[in-house]
Amino acid sequence: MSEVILSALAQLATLENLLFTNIGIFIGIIFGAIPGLNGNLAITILLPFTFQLGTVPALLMLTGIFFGANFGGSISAILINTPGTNAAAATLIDGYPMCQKGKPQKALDTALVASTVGGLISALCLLFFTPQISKIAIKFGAPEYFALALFGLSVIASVSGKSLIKGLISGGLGILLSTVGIDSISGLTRFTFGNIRLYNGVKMLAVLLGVYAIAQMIVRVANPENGKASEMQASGENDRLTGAEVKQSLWTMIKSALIGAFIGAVPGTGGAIASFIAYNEAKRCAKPGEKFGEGELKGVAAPEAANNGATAATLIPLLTMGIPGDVVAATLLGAFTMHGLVVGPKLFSNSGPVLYAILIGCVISQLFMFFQGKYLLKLFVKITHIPQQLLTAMLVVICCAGAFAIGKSEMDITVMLIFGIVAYLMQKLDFPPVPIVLGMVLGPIAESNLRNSLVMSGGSWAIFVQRPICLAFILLTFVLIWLLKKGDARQRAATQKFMKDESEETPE
Amino acid sequence: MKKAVAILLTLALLMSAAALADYAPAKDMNIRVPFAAGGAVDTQARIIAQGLQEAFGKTVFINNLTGANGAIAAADLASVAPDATEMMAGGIAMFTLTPLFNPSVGLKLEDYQIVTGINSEDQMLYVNPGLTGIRDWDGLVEYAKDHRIVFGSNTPGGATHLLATVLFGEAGIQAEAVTSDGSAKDLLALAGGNVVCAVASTSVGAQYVEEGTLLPIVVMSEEPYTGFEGIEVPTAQSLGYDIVFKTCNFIMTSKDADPAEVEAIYQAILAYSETDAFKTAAANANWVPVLADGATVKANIEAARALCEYGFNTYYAQ
Repeated sequence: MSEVILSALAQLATLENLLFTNIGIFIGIIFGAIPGLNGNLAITILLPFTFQLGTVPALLMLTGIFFGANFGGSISAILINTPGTNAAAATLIDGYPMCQKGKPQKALDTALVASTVGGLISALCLLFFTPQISKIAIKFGAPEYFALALFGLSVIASVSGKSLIKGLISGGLGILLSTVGIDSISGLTRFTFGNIRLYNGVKMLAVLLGVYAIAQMIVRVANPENGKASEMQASGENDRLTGAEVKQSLWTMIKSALIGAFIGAVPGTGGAIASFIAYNEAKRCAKPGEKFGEGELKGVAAPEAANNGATAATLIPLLTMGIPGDVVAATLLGAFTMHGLVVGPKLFSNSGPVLYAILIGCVISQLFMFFQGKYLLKLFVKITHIPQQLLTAMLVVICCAGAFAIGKSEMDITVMLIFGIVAYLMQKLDFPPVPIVLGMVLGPIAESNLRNSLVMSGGSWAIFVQRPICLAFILLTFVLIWLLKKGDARQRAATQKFMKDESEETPE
Repeated sequence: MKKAVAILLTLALLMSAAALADYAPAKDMNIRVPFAAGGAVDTQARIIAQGLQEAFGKTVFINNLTGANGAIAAADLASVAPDATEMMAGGIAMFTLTPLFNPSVGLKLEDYQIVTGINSEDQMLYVNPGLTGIRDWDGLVEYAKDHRIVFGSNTPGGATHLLATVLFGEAGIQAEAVTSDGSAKDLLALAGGNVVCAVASTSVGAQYVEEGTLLPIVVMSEEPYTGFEGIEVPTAQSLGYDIVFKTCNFIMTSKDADPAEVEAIYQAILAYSETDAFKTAAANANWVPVLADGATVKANIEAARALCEYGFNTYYAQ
């Protein structure tokens, strides 16, 4: 083993690797940060160029894009309330309010530190525990996936804002949207209305752009007074992340990164689920005075540590079983194959030195990402200085281009615009948008695995309590909902007490 | 007679060479790939594109137009004037399974010329002997007498689902599918003991077989499969079930494109396949090229179509 590691280090320590890793991270951050563009597009575009490179620099560059894009997604989520990737959808819940309160730099720095912590923990898990983790992951069958999806859907209770019923309706809409297309069990088409472009379903990214970016543009156009006087508070002296704040949120980051690494290692899941579950967990552990949903630092740290925690871990099922966790990982799968690494159970024994060079490179990439992010964020934060009218116009154009780029189809632009209007109307009626994303991400996993589980059991629902992992997730779901309900009641009581005290103190 | 054949072959080769020498495409080439970037067919199309660029000095674009079982890429191909430079990658399911399960997609083999085959693979039924004790088809039949058979496959309308359904149907075994969107997931479900067996291609199962976790017990081809060390996989035909299905991918163009130009492109691909650059790229991509000519590919599709129609009418249409 030590010989393999030494050989890997020898292959890794070259100027070429250093250069291409950094190029990859830089491109990834830029693509992740621009709404509509994403890491998958960047990898697809650059894949042919990597044919001219050696295996190690080529794959370091492509994995660098993967890591960079995942972090980059948080930049637009924080600054313009539009997640660059679906994994960053949970980041905007607290990230954008922080930005509105004049703390964009602090929010971005938090995202960067959390992403680095998450990425490092994940890359270390990938480096040291891949065989062990893949043994647990192999135990995940349809019932476990269903229980995990159910657990993820319980997060709706946490992100519904004022009304749980409205949150559930939004979540239901998301699940309903995820049923459009060819049914994964029966093979029949559903809600396609004869349109072949809907056979593969409604594109998640188009809905995201509509729900967040376009809806917000409509708000700005409908309320021009907000556009004239910027809705943002000017960033001030305390718009810097302090060492004390990092220390305060470090445990949240580590815990979220571990959640991310675990979820990421489960084949076919990915960062979006991880970030919502980690956000939920951070909110559950909230201390008095921490206001999640209103610009809480830990509300940015948790999802960012989790979605970056899932990135390198997503490579575990990819490398050992050939199963990608998300779309970007699926493209990476092709990249690995093209460069001569045949993924599967024998990859480590067949291609040890090259593979370990890439895995160690993945750990080092996280540090490069931190340093690049530190400088790039200073530039990105200037977006908040752009006049809102100009920013709105620019974003509409970028979003339309981004939506078209998803599937090279104007259909996705139409979907984006329709969901922009729907989300605007929903906002007016106080329906939270985040559960739509949750429903769309988790709906298909929940539905297909529920049906597959019942096929496995011959129709018996007992299968969900007979399997230990599955039972643990189901119990966890109920415990979590109960704790959240209890926490909410406590918070409501504290608020009412505070309001009562205030009114008593106020002279008539 | 032999002389005549030799003369004809030489003439054909000379004509092909002449066609290649004469053909100079007036514009850049475009290969639409109805599969995601990074997938096997996408990779293979990109390698071929590299060869065409070198042969004709024109840029060859790879355009990933996914969705609707290839109909979106086909619609894009149909939207341009027929020309050999306008191509798309395709798969056997487009002309065998899709017309049966999603007739509204409306793809017809007759509307296309096949430029070249890309790959061709056998499909196998795998079991997990360590968990079920099943080591061959007879063992599976015996196991089915007192166990439910749950198999891993893609969704109805996919090749592996149809092959398993027809095989178990013909054998009179009650079986149900746990579906997924990829054969790698089906084999993982089998390795984890969540299904009793699964249908997947030889390449997807190779590492599991080498490692000893999974065992192929039936191959849906005309010849027994001997590619795995120490294992001879019997054909479904030898077990009494007439199931032969080789999945294949290919590059095609409009039926109205100039056949001489299509032939020139095919010859350029064949010539490129002899180079070291091609061999290295193919080996790196774990690709065993099967660059069959159009007629051979079409014959394979026609043969598979008969099986699919039988399977659909017998087991799905009711």
